[in-house]
Amino acid sequence: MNLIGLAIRSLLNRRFAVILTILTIALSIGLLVIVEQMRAEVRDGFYRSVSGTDLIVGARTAPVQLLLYSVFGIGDATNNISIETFEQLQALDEVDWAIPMALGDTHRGFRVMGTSGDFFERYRYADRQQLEVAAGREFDDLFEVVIGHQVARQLDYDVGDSVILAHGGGRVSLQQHDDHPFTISGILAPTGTPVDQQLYISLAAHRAIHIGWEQGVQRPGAGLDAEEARERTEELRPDSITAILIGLTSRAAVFGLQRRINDYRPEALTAIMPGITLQELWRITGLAEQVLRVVAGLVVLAGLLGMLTVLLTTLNERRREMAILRANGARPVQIAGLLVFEAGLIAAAGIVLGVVLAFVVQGISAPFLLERLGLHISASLPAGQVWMVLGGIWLAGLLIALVPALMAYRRTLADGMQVRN
Amino acid sequence: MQRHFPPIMLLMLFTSLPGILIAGELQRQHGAHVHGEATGSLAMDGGEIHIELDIPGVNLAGFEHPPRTEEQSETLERVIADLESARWLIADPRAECSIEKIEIATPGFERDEGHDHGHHHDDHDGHDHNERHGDHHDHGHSHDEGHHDIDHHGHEHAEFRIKVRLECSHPASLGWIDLELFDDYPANERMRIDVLTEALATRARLTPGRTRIDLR
Repeated sequence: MNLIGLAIRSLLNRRFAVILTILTIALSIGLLVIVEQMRAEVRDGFYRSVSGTDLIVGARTAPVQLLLYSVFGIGDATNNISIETFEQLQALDEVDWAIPMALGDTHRGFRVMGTSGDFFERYRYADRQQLEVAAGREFDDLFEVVIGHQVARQLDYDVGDSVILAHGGGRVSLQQHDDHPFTISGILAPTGTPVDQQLYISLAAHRAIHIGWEQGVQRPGAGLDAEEARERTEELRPDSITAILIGLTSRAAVFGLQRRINDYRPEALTAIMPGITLQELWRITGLAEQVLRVVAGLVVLAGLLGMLTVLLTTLNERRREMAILRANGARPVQIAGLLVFEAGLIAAAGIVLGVVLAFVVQGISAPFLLERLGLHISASLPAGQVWMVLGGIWLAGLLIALVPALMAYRRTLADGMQVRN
Repeated sequence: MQRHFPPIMLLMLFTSLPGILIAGELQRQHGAHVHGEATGSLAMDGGEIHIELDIPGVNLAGFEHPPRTEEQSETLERVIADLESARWLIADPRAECSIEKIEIATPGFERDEGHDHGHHHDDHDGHDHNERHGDHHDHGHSHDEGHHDIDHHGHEHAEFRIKVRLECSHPASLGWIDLELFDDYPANERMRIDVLTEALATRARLTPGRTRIDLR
């Protein structure tokens, strides 16, 4: 009978302790893989969300905050910028396009963005992909709304349905713009970015539903009725908007315009480059990531030490087993090899199980991230580098097994044959 | 927001400091001025590369006011000559780049408005610059970063503004650009360069041990 068969049978004989050891290693590996994978996936998700936008302009604020509230819907703006500033920026020679963003309203927890038709034309995500309307068309009438893929899916909406927007944020808002119901004119194709989590109306509509709301609540009778509003669409424009996405005609102009916007005299503005601001964000979160990695690494070490403990304790119980093998002609090297082989098998099983575990956890947490951040995280198998780390851990497992193997090598025969009391 | 992302709030504090220069109707605002840290940008459009650097005066010259002694005048001249020589700017030789234009401005180092090196600096809140500081020694503004400058003449911290335009014959082969502004200027501790190329939008942080901007 060969040694490998013997080893497997021996393991099966001690299956309870072995399974627990494998589970320990699997949990630690799972944690490590999740930390690595989620980090990469979340970063990809963020980078996918904005593409082709040279500058984002908002009221003077911290760059990261501007990026978070304009693109990712995290947090709120402290100030708005005046519409005149938007118009002046739009008119500049080096500005190819400018997308206005007027935020502040919601629909059942989803953000409503007042914007222009340029949004559908010019906004890019992932690898400079354009937005597509999957069903229906862009908004045309004043009281039409285009909704993101997730909004339609989660609220079960279809083209032609009527929706009422709420003033301010929150899932339950008592202040509804119920005098102006909107009709869904189109649903955007899925993008896997925060675009999926928003509703889009025209700037004029954004203004129209806020007439008479100057005090934060609607003055009775002060609102515009729908027909009147439609007739006056041309003159309806908001006084202020939340942010502007800008695309420039030449790359060389980006820094110059950024500086001019930051130095702009009439209004305190901040212009950011999305890519650089994201990088700044990672610089801080990077510290937390490193801590997580270290913790995950230590847990793996604990898992391997657990395996060592099990191997060492069972070594005593297996004195007789080893002695019988020796008596039957197995050489000490073979006994040592047997132990190393066992450890390799346990470690490999733990690693495979851990990867599977991480895969499952990612799959379970994906909907949560999609709902909270609009980030589409796919459960994926580890990338090349992670496999190398896992390979390293497996080798470490083999190295650790050398400890009991050496002990067995030295004492197998004499130890096992001696009769003790 | 605060609930979910407290570290981000901290980050905002730091990232909000640079790049904010002011003026006009908003009169009492000041850009952050960090001694020792220079900022800049590098934009690459086809074979054309635009580099702009803002380096605090103290980093290169050791002072931030119009020169008062012979020695300071000489130092200033020497620094300007060194900057104009562009010996500190080294591009990947494979790209065969040449310097088309180099402009050095030294706002804050001039004794009077008028003899500027290169272009004139845009004087933020330049409304009453001369009369106020020249005649009354009146400090109309405060240094917002809590740095106590005893200099009553300096209306703002003097700095070197460098603009370089490079033309490269083989821009696709350009792997890096070195800025060797550390060895000769120990006070120049850090440079933060925003980089924008076809493939890249990144922030390079240069230190005496790391003078290379990677463009790949």
